[in-house]
Amino acid sequence: MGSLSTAFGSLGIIMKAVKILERVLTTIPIMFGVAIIVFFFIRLTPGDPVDIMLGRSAAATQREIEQLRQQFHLDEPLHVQLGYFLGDALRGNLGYSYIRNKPVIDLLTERLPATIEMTLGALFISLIIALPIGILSAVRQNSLLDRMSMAGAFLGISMPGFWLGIILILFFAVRLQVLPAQGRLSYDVPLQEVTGLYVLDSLLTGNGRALEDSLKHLFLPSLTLGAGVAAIIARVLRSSMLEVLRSDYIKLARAKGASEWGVVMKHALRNALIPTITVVGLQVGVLLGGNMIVETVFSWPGLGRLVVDAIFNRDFPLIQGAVMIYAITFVLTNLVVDILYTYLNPKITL
Amino acid sequence: MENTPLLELKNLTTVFPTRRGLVYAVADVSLSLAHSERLGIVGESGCGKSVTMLSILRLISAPGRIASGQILFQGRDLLQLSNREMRDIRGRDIAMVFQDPLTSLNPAFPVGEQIRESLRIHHIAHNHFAREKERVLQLMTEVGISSPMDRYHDYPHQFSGGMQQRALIAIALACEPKLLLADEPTTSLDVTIQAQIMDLMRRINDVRGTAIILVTHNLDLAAEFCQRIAVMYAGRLVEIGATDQVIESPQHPYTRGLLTCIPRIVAPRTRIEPIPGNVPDLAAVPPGCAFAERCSFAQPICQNELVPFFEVAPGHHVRCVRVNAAGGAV
Amino acid sequence: MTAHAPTRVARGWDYTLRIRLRLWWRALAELGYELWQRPFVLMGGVIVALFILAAIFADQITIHDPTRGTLLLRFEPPAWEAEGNWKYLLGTDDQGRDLLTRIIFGTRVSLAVGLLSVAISVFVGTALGALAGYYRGWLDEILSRFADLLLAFPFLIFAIGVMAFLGPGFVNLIMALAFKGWVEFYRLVRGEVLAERTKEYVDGARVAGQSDAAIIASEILPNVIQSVFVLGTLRLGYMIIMEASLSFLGLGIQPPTPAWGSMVSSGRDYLLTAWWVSTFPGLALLLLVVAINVFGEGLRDILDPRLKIE
Repeated sequence: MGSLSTAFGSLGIIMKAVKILERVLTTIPIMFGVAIIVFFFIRLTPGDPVDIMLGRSAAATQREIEQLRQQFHLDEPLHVQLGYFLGDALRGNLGYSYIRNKPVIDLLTERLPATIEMTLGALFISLIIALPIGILSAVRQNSLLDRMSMAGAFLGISMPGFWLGIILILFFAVRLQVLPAQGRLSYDVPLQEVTGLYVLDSLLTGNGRALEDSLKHLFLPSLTLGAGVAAIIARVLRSSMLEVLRSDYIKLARAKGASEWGVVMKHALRNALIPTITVVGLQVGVLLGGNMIVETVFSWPGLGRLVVDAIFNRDFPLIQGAVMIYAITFVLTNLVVDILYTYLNPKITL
Repeated sequence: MENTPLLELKNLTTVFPTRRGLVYAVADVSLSLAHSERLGIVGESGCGKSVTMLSILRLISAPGRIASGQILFQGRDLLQLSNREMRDIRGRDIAMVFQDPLTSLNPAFPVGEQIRESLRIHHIAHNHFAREKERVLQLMTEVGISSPMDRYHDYPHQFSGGMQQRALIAIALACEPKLLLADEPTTSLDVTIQAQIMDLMRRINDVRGTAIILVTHNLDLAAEFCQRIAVMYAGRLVEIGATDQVIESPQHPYTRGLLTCIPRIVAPRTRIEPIPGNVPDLAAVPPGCAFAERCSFAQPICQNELVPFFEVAPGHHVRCVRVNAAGGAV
Repeated sequence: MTAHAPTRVARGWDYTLRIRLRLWWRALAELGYELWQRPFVLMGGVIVALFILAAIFADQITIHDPTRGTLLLRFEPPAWEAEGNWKYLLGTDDQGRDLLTRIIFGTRVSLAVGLLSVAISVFVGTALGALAGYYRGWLDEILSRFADLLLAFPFLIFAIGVMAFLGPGFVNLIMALAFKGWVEFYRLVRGEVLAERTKEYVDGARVAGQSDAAIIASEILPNVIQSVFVLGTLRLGYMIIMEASLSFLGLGIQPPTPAWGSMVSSGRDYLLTAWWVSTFPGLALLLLVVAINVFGEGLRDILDPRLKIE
């Protein structure tokens, strides 16, 4: 009897693992779909694909044009071209930027750390702001704090990111002159790159000056990017906390003699986080899109600005590769969120 | 020591402000409970039984509040305690079993951990994990959860309704409380499971001497389990007495109504008679007897004056003017 | 079927229409009452209405040319600043154009792009959602898969990608926004229709001999229209921010046409000397979007509280 239940217990874990694997597998067709859409973007743009790929400003030699025709198998039927495109993408070959004279994948990986650093910074700031606000305004519902926070959050969700960034620059960089307005690091601060995340690198190399400088540079962009997300998380967390706090098990926790802190932080928060985590996952897309805007505002040398520049240069292979990276990142983060959700919610059926 | 009652409610009144006015969910309720006693509180839903229980634990959530009265537990007035002192009483001296076991267990934590939490909060095993766990397994066995070792890490949704209720009882018993408040503990369960749970509660009362207040709308259940029964109507107590007294010679028309509502198999075949009318709006309870509007014996005086308790037999108190007039025989 | 069956159905149509109109009128009156009870929501609605009026009558209420300025009057500060000029209430930009005039004209772009892209999204999403939800089968399968796929792209990235290939411009902008915008309406309507189609009144209409199209149009859609309307209002603010963001990046409306996003962008180079050029267009955008969202959330609370937890 006992061993039977144990068997069922481990079966549960296996079933959860199977569910997660299933979920991982479902992302594969979505990735393919994304790649196909990206593939057709270029094909559907009016004009000769070779001209488009070379960019209108690039003075291409006949040899380059021939090379390109060969590389993209442009003389073959569309579905064969698609096959080659997908095969290349699978091998990490996202094409070649003729305008920057570099493989697209290299350009993207060069810029990726800067974008990751800012996105993590934004996520961090938004959680720092949203978690306490969401919890406190639910616990003290209708208090002054609650009303002010929710008015602030309302402003946050209506705030255009690019304008917030400019207002922050005007205030902190132009008026107070306490924070830098652009870049990741001051020119006169040396830093040895390890991971490409400057805050992490300065920690790893024990470079205090670079740490302070890179944090200062990181703060305003992260705040700009994180503000809207913070507003949304705070609103969702508050409403799910309110719902959870009314439930019977909270009453039972109190009846057990649990302290108010224990009731709120352990019993209520754990359950309120379940719907919140889904929303945080959806916000990752907002963060990715917002990157392009915020990187432009703060001259942040990341992926977003690379893409914006590529659009103006009509550097299509680069745009194509970047859009794909973005979509894949988005799909993958959603996968991580789903797995986190499984972990938090014992009742889960994915 | 044994002469002082374990719990004594004196004129307890709990109110909820609503848009339509102040609702007296519990109005002027007084009763006492001896050590190891089993008391039933019976009434229709919405009559204030559950609010009375929550008031004892001071768990009335705002904007509701306890307006007046005393709750003497072992001679100490709980309403005078600080929040901190009150928390020490909750779960350790007075524990509660709620109505719906599924929603009362926290879905995010394993059942075993939820039982262990009670021990941890009140430092029963000096925060020693292994000893706590051992005690939890003991408790689970005691309330009849089979192979507790395996079920310790299961989540509430993996338990059946009956098992969930057993787990709730284990949580309540964890700190060996002197008083157990059971709010409709079997209402959401199957009949066979009901019987098992009631057996378990009786055993707890027998073996440990835990006093139990059973709140139920089911008069039969109360009659079977309890030594004394209190009947509540519209926030007020209307009759209280030993089970035999209340069941065999009910004095309040409402109690009689409740009794004739219950279908019986053994008793002579009579028609089931529903009580006519509805429970009055608690925001506008008439000044006199709250039951007057539905009472077939009502007199003008019932509508206007608050009826006091009359003792019709030793320990048998009834709030009805007819009892006084007829000297006990109705 | 007997010969006069069609006339009976036709009379039924007319009858239900009249009843429906009366119900709608009552619902409208009720809505008006509810709005009156919520001053904030009402204020949001009034502000939105003022913006719409400003957009319509932009030519009449401004005294300057929105696209041509005087270089001599570059960077006039707002009127209340030390060197301010009351003829240029909010100051002038780098080309000496009156900022207030350009903001008022910019309202046109924001509202037109926002309203049109939402309208197209609503139309396409509702139509496809109703078809997929009513007929299910392969149509539903294909459309739903496509919708899932579009959801794999973050909104702004998708719009930026589309604009990159289509090139900037008013029509392209609306198409880029609507091309992804319809998905949410599709999912909403499809879900509602799936739920509604099994209800008895739909069976009743089918038994009475109504065609599928008539059932969808006259029985099912009126029941989902409120939710669609609420969602549409809530999405309007978002679409306007998207338009401004694209214009800010230079991918949307092109200069010299005044659009708030590109105005904020053009002021970016002069933050040290002329703070107002970037500040005021963004402030107008914030005000409009806040007003729309206050109004939209108010409508949702009144009409469709189910949508509250998204």
